Amino acid sequence: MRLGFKIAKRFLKSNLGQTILIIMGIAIGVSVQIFIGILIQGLQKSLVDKTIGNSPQITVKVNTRGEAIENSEEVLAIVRKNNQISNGGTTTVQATIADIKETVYPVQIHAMDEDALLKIYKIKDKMVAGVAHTSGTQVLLGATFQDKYGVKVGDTFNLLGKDGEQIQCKVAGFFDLQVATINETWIISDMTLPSLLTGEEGIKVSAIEATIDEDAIFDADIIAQKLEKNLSAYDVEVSSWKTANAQLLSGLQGQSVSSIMIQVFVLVSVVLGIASVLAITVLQKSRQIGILKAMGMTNSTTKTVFLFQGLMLGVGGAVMGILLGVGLLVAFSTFVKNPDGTPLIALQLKVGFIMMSGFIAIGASLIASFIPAVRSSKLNPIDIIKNN
Amino acid sequence: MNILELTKINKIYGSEIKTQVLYDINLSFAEHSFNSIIGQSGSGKSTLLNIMGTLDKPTSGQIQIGGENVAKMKEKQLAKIRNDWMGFVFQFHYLLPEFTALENVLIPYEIKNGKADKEAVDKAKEYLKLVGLEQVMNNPATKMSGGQQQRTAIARAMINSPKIILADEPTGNLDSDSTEIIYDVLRNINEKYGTTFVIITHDKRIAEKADRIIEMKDGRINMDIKK
Repeated sequence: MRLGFKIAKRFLKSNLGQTILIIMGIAIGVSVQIFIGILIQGLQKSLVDKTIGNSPQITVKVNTRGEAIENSEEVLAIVRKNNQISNGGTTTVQATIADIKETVYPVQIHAMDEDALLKIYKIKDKMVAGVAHTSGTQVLLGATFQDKYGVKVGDTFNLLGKDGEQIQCKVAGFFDLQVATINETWIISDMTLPSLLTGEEGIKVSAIEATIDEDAIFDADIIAQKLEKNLSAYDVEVSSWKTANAQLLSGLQGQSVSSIMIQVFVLVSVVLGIASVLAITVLQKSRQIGILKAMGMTNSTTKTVFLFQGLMLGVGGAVMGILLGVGLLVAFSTFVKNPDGTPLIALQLKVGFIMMSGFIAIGASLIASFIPAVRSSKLNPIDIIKNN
Repeated sequence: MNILELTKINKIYGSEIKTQVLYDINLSFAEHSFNSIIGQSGSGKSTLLNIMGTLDKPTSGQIQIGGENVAKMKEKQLAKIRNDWMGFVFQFHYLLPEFTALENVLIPYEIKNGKADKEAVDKAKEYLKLVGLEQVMNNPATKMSGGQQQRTAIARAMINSPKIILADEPTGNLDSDSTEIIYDVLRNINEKYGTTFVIITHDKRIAEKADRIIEMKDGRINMDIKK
């Protein structure tokens, strides 16, 4: 083993130019893998954040349309118990007519508890005026009401209740969810307002909504299935963002597949590169291998010479590649920016992924060195001695 | 006592067109002896030496090294026999150019024992001194003259204290002064350590200095003179 390592080291050192070229080849492969991998992961994360990050990713509703969830507190507790659920809250949607400044608008009352308001819809970050606080008839309106219809914080307006009853509400603030129809039609209230409108007693919960841990975002359908199983005693169905956003999902999956394909092709080219160069080294060093065998070196030790060469090239290439890849990422996030100065794609240096790329390169180099290793073990010393 | 015995050795090359290069060779070499093999090109002397060194296999016949029949041994066992019992010196030196003279000498030791300890290094230095290379032992193999490289190869053949040293035209590539030096070194080793030598040579002067001269002709032993 030791001698194999020593000879491998000398072989690499004696052809320093060639060694540097192979290491550079592996390094470029690794850096491309890291750069493309993290870039696409960052791209996906920002896409997911922008599209489904501020909305529920799991929704529990009753099977019968329009009905309220019975024992909603128990259901919510079961949902929250799942390890992968980060936040859970209750919501109710109620359509009605709003009379604002003597003009009537069809609106949707989105009643939500505090958890849903702040943690799932993250309304606090979306406020353009006023405060993100609802209670009773104190509500939040979409930004269009402020921009287009001149409504101000503190203004009052009426909502149409049961039997034509007018219920006066006060504007606590305006939110901008960056979707025109939402900004035009949504009124966010606490959970008590729908009951006030319908004249029913108690709080009616039409849906339980939840967000899931960032890492498990693409497992939403599995989590939904698991929850449905846990909730089989209740008359509810569970859906995930994946069913509601099939197009987005297929886009994201397309991106993932293309990223994996790029990484696989880079890997294949690295393996072929090392294998072909090491195969040539066997020819270059066949004289040395022949004489070592004549002196009594066994075939298995001869193999280790080439395996160690593969290992050393792999480790060198992986280290250089990681440095190069991280450098590229830092340069990308420093120099490629949005007009407002924020990075175009927020990149996260995932140590696990970077290390994995390095280890894959080392593994690939070892595999690539197997072919020349086997070739060297088949070399017959007598052929070398006879043919000089 | 014989250290190396060949019995009815035949060697045929090729499977479709067969060329027989050795015919029923029977030879034995006594321990501590200094033997030379002469003969024209193509007479089969190198093939015979390679068979003695277990580098090549006979088509039929038996080889006994130190009383052990090596004919049926596996490659791994043969490698061990070569490492333990034999030292090789070839015409074209065959040093590893990536290593210094001293490191080259230590390679057979490292194949056998792993890392060379101080004792082994001292021994290697002693052999290098014996062949007159103490001044250049840290030179890379490529930075030495042909004669120096060949003397390094002799020191390398000695490092595991082999019982037999097989040399195939060790002076074939050298000028007459170097030839004389190499011969003296080999003879010196033979006398000092009792190593058995089998040397193929074209050089009549060298052959005549050996204890025994074997002449090969067309794959057969033509003459065998013991002094």
